[in-house]
Amino acid sequence: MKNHKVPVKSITQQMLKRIKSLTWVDLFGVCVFLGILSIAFFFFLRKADYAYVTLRVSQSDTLNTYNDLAPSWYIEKIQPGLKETDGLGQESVVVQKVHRYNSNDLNQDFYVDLKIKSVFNSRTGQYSYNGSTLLVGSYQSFKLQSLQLSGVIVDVHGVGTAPEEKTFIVKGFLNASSNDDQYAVANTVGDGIRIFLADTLQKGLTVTDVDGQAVAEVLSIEKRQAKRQFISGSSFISVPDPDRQYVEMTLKVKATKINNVFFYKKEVAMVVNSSLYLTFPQSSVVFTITSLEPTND
Amino acid sequence: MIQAWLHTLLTRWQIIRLYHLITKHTYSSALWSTFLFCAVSAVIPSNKLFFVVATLYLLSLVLITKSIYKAVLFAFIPLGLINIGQIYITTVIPINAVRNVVNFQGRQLYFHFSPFFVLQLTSIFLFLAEIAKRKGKVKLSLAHVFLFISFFFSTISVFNSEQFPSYSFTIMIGTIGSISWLTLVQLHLRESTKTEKNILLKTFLLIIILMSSVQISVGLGQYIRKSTLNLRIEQTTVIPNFGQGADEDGTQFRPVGLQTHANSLANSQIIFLFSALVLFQYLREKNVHFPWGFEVLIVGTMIILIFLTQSRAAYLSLGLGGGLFLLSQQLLSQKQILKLRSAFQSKIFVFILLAFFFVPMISNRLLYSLNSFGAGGGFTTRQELEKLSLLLIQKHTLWGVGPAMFIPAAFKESPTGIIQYFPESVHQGFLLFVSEHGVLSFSFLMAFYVALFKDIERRLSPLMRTNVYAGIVATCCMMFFHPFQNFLTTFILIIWLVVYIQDNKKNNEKP
Repeated sequence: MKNHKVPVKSITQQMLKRIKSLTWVDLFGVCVFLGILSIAFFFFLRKADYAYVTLRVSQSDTLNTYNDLAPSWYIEKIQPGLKETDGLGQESVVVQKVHRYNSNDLNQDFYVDLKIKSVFNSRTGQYSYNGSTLLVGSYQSFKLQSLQLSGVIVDVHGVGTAPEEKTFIVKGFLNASSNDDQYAVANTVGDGIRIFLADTLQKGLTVTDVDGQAVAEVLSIEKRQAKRQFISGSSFISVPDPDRQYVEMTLKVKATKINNVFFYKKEVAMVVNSSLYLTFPQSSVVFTITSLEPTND
Repeated sequence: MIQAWLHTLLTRWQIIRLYHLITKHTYSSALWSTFLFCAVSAVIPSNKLFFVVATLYLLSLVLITKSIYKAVLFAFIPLGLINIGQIYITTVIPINAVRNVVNFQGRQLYFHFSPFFVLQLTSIFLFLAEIAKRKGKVKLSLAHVFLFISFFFSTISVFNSEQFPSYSFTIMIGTIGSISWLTLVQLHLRESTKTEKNILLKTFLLIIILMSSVQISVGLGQYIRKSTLNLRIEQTTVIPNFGQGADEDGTQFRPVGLQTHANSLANSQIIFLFSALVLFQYLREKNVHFPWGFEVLIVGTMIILIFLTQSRAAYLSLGLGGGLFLLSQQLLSQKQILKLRSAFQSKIFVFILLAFFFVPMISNRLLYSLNSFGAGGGFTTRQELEKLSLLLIQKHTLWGVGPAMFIPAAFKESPTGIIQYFPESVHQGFLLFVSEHGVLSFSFLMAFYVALFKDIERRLSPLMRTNVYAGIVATCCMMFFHPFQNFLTTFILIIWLVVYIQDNKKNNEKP
């Protein structure tokens, strides 16, 4: 044990001797270096924090929904778990959830929930990633493994207050002009939808959000034979249309308050004559509101 | 394995003797400390930890050398090359304005808040303390005066900038820190004894060689792996796109070393190469010799890495620098070539193997260069950027657009022009400096060079002068084709240091 202690003591003595041999300029220099580092540690060194962001995948920076949507082959590549890692293998951007809305046959409205390793500025309440501030409405681009993900940020979670939600009982019908491409043929006008489409609709069907929660549910449904109307001479004639059915439904719809107005999926105002785009598992239809009232559910 | 391979070439006794020959009369502990610092930094798991390691490294140098000046001298190159730190990003061109896949988040400028920046700031404070200590009586040369005036005008240019003055200011602070570092070292070395000077410069040279070797190892590793090595000391995790231009072959790989681009690696190696050559010659003239084989090995590996970068400007720089040396020192060159031939005659197969490897690679690169003059080639792109820089010079003649502000200023000037597709600085260092710093700063920088050349002519030996001019020609050639501002590189600072400390005849006479 003694043999060990002796050299340790001599090293300490040597160190002390060397420290004592330093002049005030040397000590000043060391203090300046350490001082700048200490100041930097308190003021400049940032703490990484995760930002949770919802991105609407888009090919341009337009804020309009249904514009510049990405094609199906592209959004198929975006799956939960897709991530980008930094030099140390730590996750910097991760796709947590994806949610798609059918907009038309080729393109889909596609939303991605991202977890982004970023820097939070407590003074401004803003997150920034790689020098870009993550602002709602800003167009951002990320590299995730072999994929480039671009789109407009629609929500930065945790910033601002949670929006108010309310459930409505909504009555309405499926307007032929929005659901049937042959509702007006050869001076005739129909009021129904094709039977094969009407057959997919039944009580209990739901439209779900990204978490699987129902945002719209069919409470009741009434179907009757549709009519086709036309003018012949001075007469207005209405005849049954055997290929179509007139569909009326009562729905329970969850809406979010934006600027004192409630919106379905934050996109369509909950007012009479609005058209709700209902994406059921087997079909998608446009529903026109004829009356609505809030409920306590 | 390396040890076993070394033993096949040299015996254990020869290795020990070689080590002692190289490290004799140096701060060998400082060299080991630097080596340890590089090794730890390469695998360090966090940026914050790197700050601790860098601080310990600087403190160890202070304790080893018992002087902050010497510690700052030795730490400058390692901390400058291993520039790990907090990165602050400024987006100067928004994402939707750039039509370039490389800049998928828009064009961004990066500032590293690193131990190197702290060292630069410390150098400024130390310089001010030195002036106070000497009660303002600091002997400066005419070159200093011209350089300080040039910097004064550059600082005005910062505050005059319409773009991102805070970013420009931090870049300027870093440069002022480098000049403060050099002036401090000059003042300290000038007053040192001849022996101390030689010890310091020999250690400094070995640190340059060590750092260059780290870069060579990383570059070679990248070339073999055809990718980055995922080391912390690498500045990038992705090798930049190569093969996008008409004059490039995307199937060939270009290593980036500790830089972000192969051309930057070539530039930094050329600076290290000529810095090492100047210091080798300086020490030789002071009767401090290195084994000839060691010098050949260091210069050879540096040149091999430069070849691997496939930078055409670097090839031209080596050709011009080497050609100037051969023409100016014909007898010495012939002697050295004969010495090389006799030394390597038995190992001619190594050269044949190297030729098999390098000739197709370089030929391919040069062959593709013929496309430079086509649409989308390097020549037309450079021409467009040069036109843009001339336009900026016309509009901001005196003060420029601000240091490091070329890209945002060019975008503001022509948002739908070449900068949209190639958002880079003008690939001509001279034009870049004038457009960013202004004509006034450039004029005084040129006056600094004239004063420095006069000192070089007066104080350096003919062979030293040839080394210096060959290096200046090579670095200027790099600057002529790339956005590098090689006006105040490590090489120039070393030349100035050597010239400045030669002045003190009184101390030179001391044993």
